Amino acid sequence: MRNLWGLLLVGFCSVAFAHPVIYQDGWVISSMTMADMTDANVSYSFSSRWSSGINYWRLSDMQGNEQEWQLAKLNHLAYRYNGDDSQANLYLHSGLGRSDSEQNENRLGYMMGLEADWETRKYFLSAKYLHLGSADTDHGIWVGRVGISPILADFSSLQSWAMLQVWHDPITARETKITPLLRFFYHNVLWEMGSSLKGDMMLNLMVHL
Amino acid sequence: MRIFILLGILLSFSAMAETINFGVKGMVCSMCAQGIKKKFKALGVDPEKVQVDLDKKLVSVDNDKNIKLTDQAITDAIKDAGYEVVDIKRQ
Repeated sequence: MRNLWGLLLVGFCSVAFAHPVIYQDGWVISSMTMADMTDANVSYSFSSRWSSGINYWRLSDMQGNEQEWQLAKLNHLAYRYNGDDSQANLYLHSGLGRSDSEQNENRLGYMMGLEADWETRKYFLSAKYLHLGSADTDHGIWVGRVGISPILADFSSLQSWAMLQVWHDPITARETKITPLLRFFYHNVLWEMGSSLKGDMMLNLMVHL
Repeated sequence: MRIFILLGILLSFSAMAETINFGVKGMVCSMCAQGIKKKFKALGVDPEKVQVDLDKKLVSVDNDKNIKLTDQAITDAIKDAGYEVVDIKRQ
């Protein structure tokens, strides 16, 4: 039962990373998975500024002990800059629910976060901080990304990006994890594939509905 | 005489159909801009009649069903999609 939420979410959407709030009445189904973590999410944007949904997190510490969070989540687009050739965003994340580990089951879990990005058709930059809290261990996760699109494709064509992700979580990672990855999206489906410099595979998927 | 009446009706229909062009600020990502098509679909426009040009940051709506698309309705739809409209032109 403990893993039911996570299995359902991961099974449903497989493996993501992008805007937590999209157009009004839009759904986002996404997940991002590496060996020592899973982040799966289903959310609904009830306006172009707010979205809510459910979020599953799995993190493993250095000893292989797993901890999970099952959260009801609220995301807010606090600021958006729409420029002639660029867009920038500032998002706030919050979540409340339960956390489970081998030592403690069904304890209060929560999440707070801040995310900023800037993109043009050719360049992408983002930075994110998430604090996942529980009765066991608190995690402070830093994720930064830089990307470039080598080909500026038409609206209805396959889009491709080369990106570099830097992941820093002092608890789960022995050292900062650097992951080169490829991002593709076509119409409303995005997928990413990458491998950290240590060989840890990453496969992400996101769908906008 | 019937031919003239038929021709008049056809001409009046063609005069009612319009193409609406407008600029969209912030439109840099094709996946996120899918919301623009969705918003116009909600207004009754066939998504196939909505053309998005990411290079020029332009959207073109072929309003062949003569749906009432006021400037305010277009501005609201684009705002709900997360963007800003500039310079609405009708042909």
